[in-house]
Amino acid sequence: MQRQALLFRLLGLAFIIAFVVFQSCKKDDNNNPNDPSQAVESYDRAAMLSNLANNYIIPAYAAYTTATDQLKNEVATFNANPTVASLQSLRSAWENALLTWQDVAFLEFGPATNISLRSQTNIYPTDQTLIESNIVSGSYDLQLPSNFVAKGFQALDYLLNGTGMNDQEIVDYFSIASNATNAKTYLLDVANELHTNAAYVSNEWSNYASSFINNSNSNAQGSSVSNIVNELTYHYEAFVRKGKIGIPAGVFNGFSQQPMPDHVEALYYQQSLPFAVRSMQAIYNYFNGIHYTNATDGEGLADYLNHVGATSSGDPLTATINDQINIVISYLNTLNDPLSNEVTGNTQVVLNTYQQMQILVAYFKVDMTAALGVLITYQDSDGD
Amino acid sequence: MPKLISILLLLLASTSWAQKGILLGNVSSENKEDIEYCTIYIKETNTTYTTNKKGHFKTGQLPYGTYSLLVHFVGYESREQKVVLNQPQVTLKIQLKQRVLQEVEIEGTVNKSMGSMKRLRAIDGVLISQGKKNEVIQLEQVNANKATNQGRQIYSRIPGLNIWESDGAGIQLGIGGRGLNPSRTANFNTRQNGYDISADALGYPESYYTPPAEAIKEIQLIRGAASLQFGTQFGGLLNFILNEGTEEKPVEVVGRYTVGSFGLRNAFVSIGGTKDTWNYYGYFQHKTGDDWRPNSSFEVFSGGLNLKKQLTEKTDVRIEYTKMQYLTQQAGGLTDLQFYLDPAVSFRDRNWFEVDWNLGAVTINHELNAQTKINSRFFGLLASRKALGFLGQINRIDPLEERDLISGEFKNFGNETRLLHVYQVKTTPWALLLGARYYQGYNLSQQGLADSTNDARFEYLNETNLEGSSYEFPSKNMALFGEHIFNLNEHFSITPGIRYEYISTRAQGYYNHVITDLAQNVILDTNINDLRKNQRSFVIGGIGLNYKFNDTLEVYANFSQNYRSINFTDMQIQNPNFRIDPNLEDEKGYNVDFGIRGFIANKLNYDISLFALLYDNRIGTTIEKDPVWFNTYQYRTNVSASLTKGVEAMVEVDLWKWITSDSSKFSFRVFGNASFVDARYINSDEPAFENKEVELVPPLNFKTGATIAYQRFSVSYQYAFTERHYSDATNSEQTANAVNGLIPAYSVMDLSLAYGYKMVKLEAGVNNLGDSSYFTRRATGYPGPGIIPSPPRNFYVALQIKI
Repeated sequence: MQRQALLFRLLGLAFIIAFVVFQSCKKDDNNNPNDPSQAVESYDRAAMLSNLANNYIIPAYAAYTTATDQLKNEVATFNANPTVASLQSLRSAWENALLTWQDVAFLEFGPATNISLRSQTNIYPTDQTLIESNIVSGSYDLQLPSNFVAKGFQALDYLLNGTGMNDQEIVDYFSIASNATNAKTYLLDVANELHTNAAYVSNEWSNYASSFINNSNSNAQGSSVSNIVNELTYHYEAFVRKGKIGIPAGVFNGFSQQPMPDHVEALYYQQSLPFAVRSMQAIYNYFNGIHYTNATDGEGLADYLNHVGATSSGDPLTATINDQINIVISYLNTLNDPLSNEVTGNTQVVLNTYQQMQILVAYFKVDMTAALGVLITYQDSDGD
Repeated sequence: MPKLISILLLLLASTSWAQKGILLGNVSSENKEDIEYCTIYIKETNTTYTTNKKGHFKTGQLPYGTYSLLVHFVGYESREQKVVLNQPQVTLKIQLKQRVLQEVEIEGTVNKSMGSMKRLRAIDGVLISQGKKNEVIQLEQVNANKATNQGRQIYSRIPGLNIWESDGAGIQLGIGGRGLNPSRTANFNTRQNGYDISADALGYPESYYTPPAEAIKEIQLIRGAASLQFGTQFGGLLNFILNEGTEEKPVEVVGRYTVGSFGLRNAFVSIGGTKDTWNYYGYFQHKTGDDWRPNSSFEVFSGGLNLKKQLTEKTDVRIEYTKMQYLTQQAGGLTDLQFYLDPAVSFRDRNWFEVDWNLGAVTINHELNAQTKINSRFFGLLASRKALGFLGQINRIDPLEERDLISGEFKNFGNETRLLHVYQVKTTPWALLLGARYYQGYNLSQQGLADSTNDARFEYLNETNLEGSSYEFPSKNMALFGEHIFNLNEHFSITPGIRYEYISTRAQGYYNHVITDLAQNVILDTNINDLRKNQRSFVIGGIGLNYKFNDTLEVYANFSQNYRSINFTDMQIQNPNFRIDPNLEDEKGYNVDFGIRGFIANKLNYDISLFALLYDNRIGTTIEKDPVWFNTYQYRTNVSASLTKGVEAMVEVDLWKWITSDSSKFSFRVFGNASFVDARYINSDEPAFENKEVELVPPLNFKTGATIAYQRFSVSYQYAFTERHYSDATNSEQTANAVNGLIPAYSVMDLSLAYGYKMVKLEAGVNNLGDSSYFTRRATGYPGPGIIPSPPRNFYVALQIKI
């Protein structure tokens, strides 16, 4: 019996030792001041997210909703009285809405993903044949994924800029052509849908903002920081660098690398560059946490990177990124619209611009993610 | 009085003229198991004899007289016995007592007092387990829902296992220990009767097949230190020993029929027996059900046959064949919100999974002499797995377009030969194990589109020009290994071991590369050919120490290096934006155990150990940039290391017998096991992982339960708790597509009853007694993606008849 008691004591002791060893091992890992991950954790992420939500995202969606509302109203006005003047007024509302879209296009997380906002809003090249057949039949479901290429801003581009050789012919398309009534309905349906989607996301953000701000315990997958970093990087890489410049310049055209001029944004409007420049400006503002309405500089990813002390080749990463955005803008400014002509007539200059855009991809995707400990969660299969 | 007689006899013997005789004997354990390789040392003649497989030994001609026999076997109490040789042949029966754990049979009940667990003998057949942490589950004594291979119940006594529940029918086994991923048990070296059963032991170690619980005799688990004798994987060896035909009669038939919730029907029949030098066992199982969610019906066929023939006294040969085939519909995963609203729903109605597994093996045992034995296993596998369906994220609706079909075909064969030599040094036996392994595999892995229907039609639309990829992976592996038990004295043993591996893997095939514009129009569609080779060889080593204070207390410690081979998928690229490190290495690391195990007053059995697992060279992907063009690409390389430390503890006690007496017909057995684990990434090249908790490692895993047995009746209850943990290396709490995120803490209770009367046995029970709503896993692809919810409360009743 005595031996048993001894064994029990031994057993108890073993348990206690095990527990102490285990607990002490556990504690060690945390307090290392030289550990860069400490700086990542010590930043007030909630404050940055709060600034982004309240001073950029929510006002930007509000502005975008207003712009699509104006667009919708201009369509109604035009439909009631199709004239060259009302067409021009409508076109200007369309251009304004598409420019405003560039400010929110990289926010494809939260409410925007619920409805795949980007795919519903601005996919190109638009399918002219499908648009025409929808108009002729008068029966279509714009919610079907197969109709994503027949709606949104680029469908409006075709309708407002590509249905005639001049403004009068375009007005005729909506007033005296055989399917004029259907065309007007289609025009209104597309504009209404843009507005409905914008209003939905804008409205949802008022609820989503608090969970967006509170989802700040870490930079793990699914956290708000991970979402904004991934979506900003993905949008810039796939929709700005590749979509706006790379594909038209022929970079992705297989082995031939022949330019693809009909792949530019706003093909029929013949002005693509303002949207690209606006997109870069919006990325600059969002990255730096600049307020949407009054240009006050608040907390953004730039400030987070500064807090962490992120560098690239010895220079502060924030400055490197900001400089690169400005370089891209200056390169874009050297190009001339229509971009569809520029890519064939002045290919090398477009390719140079693309190369500058590619450098920024690396800063976002490699340097920024490494500094913040964010994992890139999207697959990029294009090959450059 | 007997003393006097022996003295008289002694006198008689010594005075009589030099008459001679032999000593014959049999050495067995208390459970009447014959002990092989047991040494019998005769002091007077200074000679040593060793028992054969049947536990028999035979001396040469000895002069009549009294002899002192010292009987010794690793893991057992040594025994000294005096014997008088006074006639031409004296036969002895010697029983040895196991040192660590004894089993006491309770008359008339199906349960033994120490329950379903035992430990391996230091030398078991041609396996050395001295100084290694190991566990053996005896299925006969497990009170569980065997029709659904209920992992939570079957593996209940093994601390620290994370058990995945992928379907309600237990078709696939998903267990992981020490913070290793449980997915298809791929971090264990999984075997059946000692030979490989996973798709490819090195390149694709996933167990799509594991034998049905009803056909298993015991499950042997040797933790990380198994690497030296078995090779790949950090988790160690998981070996399923199948039933054999009874030795008592020529024909024994067992029929079992189980009915359970959600349309579960399970029929099992086996036939086995011994006739002359033949032993045979065959089983067949047919299982169907609808499972608890829509779109999740299944049908499983499995069967096996083994034939064993004793060719000579020293040689036997065994031939085995196993087949398993199943078709399951996959209900898909759920998002977090869908799970909390109602887990019993499905948003995928055209996803299917089909497996066909064929295994063959020939095992030869031969005794070269009384101390040396050879075991050689030839094995082969011919198998396929096919997954069909819409694999898009679960938060997207199925677009009802063409489905993805992913198929794998596996053909491999190999041989593993072991030689065990036991010899006497002073009074202790030492043992040497040498082994060699040759393995050759061929794997074809394809992905493409299949039709857009709902049917289980596993056919590619364009078999010769797949939309995804087609790769073949021929591989070769050779290994040499050795382990030696040095019993320095009665108490202390050292068991060092070493293993050499040569692995050669090739990946050859093509992938389809498509570039689209923003509107998804195809700009480029081409096939890219790919060829990659990786040859490497390395040596791993380890050492085990064992100190026995006395018969009931033992301390063990071991250190073993481990490796996990580069998987086939690691050698395959799916798009040109992906590069693979030309110097990609196998994942390497080590396991360290330090534990105490023993037995108190025959009633309490415990094993408590500390362990550390260093998992280095983890293969992963980083994003890199080309310094000239600033192109970014994904780079697969050895990314990070992780360190897992923890405590594994298991205690089981028969309280009733403790209080009353050993001979009581009543038994009340209580067990508890727990593991505390801390696992973290260290030195990660992927900053998102640095210092994060390793995914799929519950910091606390706890199971407890009780079994009450009275004569032929027994009831078992158990409670299992798994603490909340992460499912990915960035420690994500929630993601929109539910592929990553928290696995919240869950606890589940099970209750099983068994009653046996003559040839009939009745089993019944309730799984998830408390009807808790929980999930054990999130799936990235099949069977999800998303949360795979675990079954609600469910019932079963099984009837067994043995003739």
